[in-house]
This record gives sequence, structure tokens and C-alpha cells, in this order.
Amino acid sequence: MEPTVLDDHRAAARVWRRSPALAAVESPARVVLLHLDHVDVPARILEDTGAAIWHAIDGLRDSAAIVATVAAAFGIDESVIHDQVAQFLDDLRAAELVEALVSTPEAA
Amino acid sequence: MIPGGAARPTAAEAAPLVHVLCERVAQTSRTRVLAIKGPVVAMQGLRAPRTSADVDVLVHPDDLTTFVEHMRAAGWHDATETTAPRLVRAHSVNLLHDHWPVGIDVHHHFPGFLAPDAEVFDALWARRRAYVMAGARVTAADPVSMVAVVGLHLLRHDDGTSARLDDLVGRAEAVLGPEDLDALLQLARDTDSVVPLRPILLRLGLRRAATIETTHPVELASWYDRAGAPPGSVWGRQLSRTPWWRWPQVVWHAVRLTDDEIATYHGGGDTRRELARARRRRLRRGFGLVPGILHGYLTGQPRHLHRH
Repeated sequence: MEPTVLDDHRAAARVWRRSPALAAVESPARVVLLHLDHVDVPARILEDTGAAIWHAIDGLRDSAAIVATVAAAFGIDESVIHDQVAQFLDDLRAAELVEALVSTPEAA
Repeated sequence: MIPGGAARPTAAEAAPLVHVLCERVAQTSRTRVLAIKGPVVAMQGLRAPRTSADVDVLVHPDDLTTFVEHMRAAGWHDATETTAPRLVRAHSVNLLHDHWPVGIDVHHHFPGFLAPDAEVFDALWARRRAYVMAGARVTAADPVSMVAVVGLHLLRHDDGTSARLDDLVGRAEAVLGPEDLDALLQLARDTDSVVPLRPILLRLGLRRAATIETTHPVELASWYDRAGAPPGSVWGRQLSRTPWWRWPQVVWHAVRLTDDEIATYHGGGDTRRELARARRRRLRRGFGLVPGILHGYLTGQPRHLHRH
């Protein structure tokens, strides 16, 4: 099944945070993640841009802010990576490694 | 394209994560499991950080079966058991996983603690401490217990004078305060490990250790049997217990072992060429063990040899 790609409106409305049920070994260019509720599932390894996206997930940034952060870090235009970042975030969410929160004007 | 991930963690990445994994399995299986040795020792300042090939945990003997069953359910499998004779009874279950580059030694007994395994575990468990590894909580032996555990591990192959033992003693002097040192001696008494640990306890200024004797003399004899044995002596002892007409069979087995053993314990790979290379390497090393084999043959005492 193809992973769902968030459209601009929905993606921008979400704030992303890391799952609290994680163990992680992190370095700037590499992140290894173990989900504590699924220890039978191999650890997920993120490298380079994947690691950069992970580092940008801080419970405060929404999709657009994460795209902007990663694009700035790699010197890329946001439009080039927007869809891929959105899909990547959805992959992480499907693996229960991150959670998507609805961003409200009050919260913002 | 955003990369989804590399195949496997490195050993340095895996060690803390596998400790966390063990902790999680212990929680879900309601078993008592302590992290010992490994990265926690470095966190406690009792050794310099280094990457090890295995993760070690100590499990309450009553919980061993349950814990290992839950680890198997999480995809871990038993390592190939060695067919080489042993000088001490089997004291751990070795688990491997195709994804993880480190194995797990699940100890239910730790050589040198001469008291019954459950009493030893309870004494260490009473002093347990939580550490944060990979951002998650891991229950581990506290620094006092860890000095005993690491000390016994080193003393298995050491007469008390090696650089690694010097390092442990020096670091223990810096990490442990006077109350901790008293606690270390008490722990050694509770687990009947004063005599095996005596070289370390005396160097830490615990003079009372000089006059405390064991209450488990048979276990102590077995400890001395193992601790003083040079590498290779186990095969010499095996020969001393074998009728001479069966020596070719023992020698052939010692030289060959099984393919699985060569792959697991001697760095062999999956191909015949890699296995052959590992066998040649082991054979070259084996010539250096001839003095130990002779020592084992000459000192072999049937009452001290335990096979698993």
C-alpha cells in the first residue's frame, strides 16, 4: 500500500513530536531508533537528510517549519524537498516513531 | 530521496539499545534483570568507554526461562553451544539476533560469587540503580556491585597484577567513598566472594578481607581451578580424563570443532573459504597454547571438571 502523502494544508496544520516510547542513539548525521513497544521490530536507522529531519522534530515545529529547517541545513529550495519530507514524516508516523498533533491558533 | 535507513546498527550503537531492549522485555515479562559490565561500567567511571561485542545481563535464576522465552519471542535465538569441555559449569545463555551486531550473555550465575545464585542475585538486586541509556531507563548493578562483578570477571584470567585490574582498582578508589568500600566488603560477604575478590579488596584497603574465609569450599575449589588455568588447559585436562586410545578423537575434535562453532566463536564466515581461514587462524593460535594444554594434562583432576 502506498503511504499517504499529506497535502500542503494538512501538513502545515500538524506539529510533530517524537514518540515517548523510544530509545535513540543520535549523532548529527545518524540516528538509530528502537520502539519500546515493538522490540521485535528491527531498529530504524536514519542517515543524512533523514537524521536532519529527525533532529528537526522537536514537538514545536510543524511540517512547514521542519521543511524550512532541513532545506536551510542542506541549502536546498523548500519546494524541492517538501513532498518527500511530508512522506517521510508519514512513514515515521506509520512506524509509531513520531506523533502528529493538530496545531491550533491558540497553541501557536 | 530521503534515505529510509542502513541495514544494521553498529556495535557501539547497539550496546545501549540492546540493554534498553532487555529492560523492556524484563518489564513486560515481569522478570528481574540487571545490566552488568558493558557501557554502564564506563558510565560509572569504572573503566574507559569502549565497544564490546556482547551485552551482559544477570537474571534471577527463577526468571531465566521466562526471560529467555520472551527474548526468543522478540526474535533472538540461542547461539551455537560450544562442544569444547568446560572448567566451570555453564553460567549463561547466549542469544543472537540477525539484526543486532552484538550478542547477549544472559547470566544466571556469575563465576566467583560462591553463594547460591538466588542469594547472589538478591544481594545485587537490593543495590540496583537506574541509568539512562539511549534516552531510556535501564536497571543496572550499582558501582559497588559492579566493582565486584568486573573484578571477578578480570580475576578469572588474572592473578591480580594485570593492567586492567590496576585500572579497575585505581578507578574504584576514585569512585567509591569509605561507606561504599564498607558496602563492597559486606556485599562480598553476602555473596561469599571475599576470597575470590581478595586481591582487589586488599588493594582497596579492606584489610578485614584477609581473614574472612569461604562458606562454600567446593565452589571455591572450582573457582581456583578455573582462575589459575592457563589458556588451552581445558583440552589438556580433557585428555587426562580420556583413555589414551581415544586421544586422536579428542585432538581431532579440538582441532576441528564444528562449522557452527568456528563461525560463532572463532570469527569464521558463512563460506567454506572463510571457515577454512578461521580454522587455520585458530590452529596457528593453538600452537601457542601447547604449554597450557600440557599444564592442563598434568594438573587435571576429574573432580574439578564439569561438562555442560
